[in-house]
Amino acid sequence: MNETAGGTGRLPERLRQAVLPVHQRIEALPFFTSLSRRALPVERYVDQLRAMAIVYAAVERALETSEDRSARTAWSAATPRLGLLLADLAFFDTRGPLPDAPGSTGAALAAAKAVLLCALQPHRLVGHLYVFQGMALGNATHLEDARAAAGGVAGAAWYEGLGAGTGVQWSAFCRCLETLGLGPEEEREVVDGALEAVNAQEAIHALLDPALPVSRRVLATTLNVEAGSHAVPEDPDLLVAALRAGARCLAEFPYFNDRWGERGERYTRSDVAWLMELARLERAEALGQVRWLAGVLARRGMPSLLLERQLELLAEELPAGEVSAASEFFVTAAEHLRETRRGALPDDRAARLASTFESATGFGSAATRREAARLLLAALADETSGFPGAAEAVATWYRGPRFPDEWRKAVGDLLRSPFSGSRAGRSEG
Amino acid sequence: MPEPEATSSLLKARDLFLKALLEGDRKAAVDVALGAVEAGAAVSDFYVDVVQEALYEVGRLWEANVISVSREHLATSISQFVIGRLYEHLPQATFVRGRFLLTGIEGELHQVGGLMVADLLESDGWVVKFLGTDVPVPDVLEAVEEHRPDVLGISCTMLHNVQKVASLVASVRERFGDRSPRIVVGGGAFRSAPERAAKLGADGWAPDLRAAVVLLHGGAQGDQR
Repeated sequence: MNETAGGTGRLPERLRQAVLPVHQRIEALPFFTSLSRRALPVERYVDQLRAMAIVYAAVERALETSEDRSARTAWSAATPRLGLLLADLAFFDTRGPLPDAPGSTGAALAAAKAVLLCALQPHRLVGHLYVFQGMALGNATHLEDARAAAGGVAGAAWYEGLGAGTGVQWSAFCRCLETLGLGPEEEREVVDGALEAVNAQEAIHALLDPALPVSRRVLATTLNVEAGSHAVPEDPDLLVAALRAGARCLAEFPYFNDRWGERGERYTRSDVAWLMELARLERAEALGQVRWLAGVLARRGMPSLLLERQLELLAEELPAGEVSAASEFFVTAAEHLRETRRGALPDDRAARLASTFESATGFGSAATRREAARLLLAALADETSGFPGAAEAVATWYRGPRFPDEWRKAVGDLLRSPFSGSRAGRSEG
Repeated sequence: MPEPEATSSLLKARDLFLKALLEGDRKAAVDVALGAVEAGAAVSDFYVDVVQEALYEVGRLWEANVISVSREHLATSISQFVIGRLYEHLPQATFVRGRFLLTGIEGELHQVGGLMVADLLESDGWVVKFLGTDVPVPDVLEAVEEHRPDVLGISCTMLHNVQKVASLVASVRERFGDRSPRIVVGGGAFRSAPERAAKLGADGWAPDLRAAVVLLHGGAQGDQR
């Protein structure tokens, strides 16, 4: 790559020069001077982790799904860091999540939104990635300060990063940028993206000033850094009840964790909190929202049976003073989903099909086979009820490589069962 | 409504525009838009019959898990770009109806509808200030103080943000009292239940872009009072 053929061939240096003044300003902000003096309150430290996780999640998700060649190449040379931030947040969450500082969280959500809008100019994403990869260098210089703020080694995984390997990784990433072969206009987009990212960092860290007063609130991001800004209960008792219901549902259906891992757990937390808020809406509106969510989730591999169960558990977990209207709503909504499912696939028929499936699989525990049968049949019922793609969305998982041939054959047989045949006939009619 | 012939050509344009959005082809989307306008379509009709309808379909495809969320964002970004290109083709009003302040409610990320409303109302004689979306209540109140609009428009797509609209309406009325601007609302959150707007204390609501223009002519459509 040379200058006449396209870009400058010195993209990392251009980027360094562009962001350097902003980096210097950020280092001079009260957040970092306080961190360096080992005087940063742990709450502000957690606020920073959460804000960074909100933005990193957007950047990493955008890069994972980008179809742009240069963005994907740069991403392949980078080191994902969202996991480190989530590990740190989980460490501090053991005493219950710290409510958000709305200022820094709001700035982080704005930065995440800017990342989403990079879709039209994917080279900007490379600029965002450059800034986030570069932050590992700054983090390394502050590692002991971060440990002081965190109160020990645990909770400082993001600052530690790759440890001694940080410099090597950074050099490899910069070499990758040099080989992208971008033209001048594309390089300009990369630099614009980097400036956008570093300016957002300045805005976020200005709001992390430990001297600023903070009115903490539980937000959707308190529960899940990828949840955006949807409503969650402000009443702590309702929130705790919602989280208990979510935890029970996760325990009843290991499928969530097997398939989606930590991310599935996070979304369960924010989703049940949102469901709890639905009880405040008028009944018809709230039921409409439940039906809408059932369709959205069913087509993504979460049959409405799971939502039905979450609603039942929410009714059970409501604090004593809240049992009337809210409880009635959750029970009614769960009943609505149950009756829809039974209308598509009566229980006795489902039981026969499940029994055939469970005896044919020859793999896994009885509980695993039972769960698979329930979810596959619930997905078939969803498909019949007007959510095309619901069955395949679950079957994709159960026909995956983690299962043996005999199991996969049983899944295929279930999908081709007489029930499936009548479903096709009905939908065509 | 457009003339039947125009409707037919806009339907064809809609298919092409949607295809361009789903393929992430910004140039093709711009070509469809400029081609339609050069062929005589009104920009307002292109907004309503092509952009709005194509984005509804993109939303449906996301709900059905046919396209990814990143593809949906790309379609949104391209649409915003096209709207920017079409702005210069909008007829300019030769008179002033009044001042209109438009905001997306706090927590709301949907912005394209607001952009189109702002453009169409400006073309219809309103001096429009669009604050963007996800604007905190105190910032909206400051903007009302600064711009002194005749009408405040509030856009809300997601149902769970409706309570925030109620809160904003109440805050405006409380702070400005008799000096409060007329307040109108619009967006997806109101299409499914039009009575919701009156319950919030709004003076009117508009189910879509054309209705928004008519509503602000002072017409009866969608007016709650």
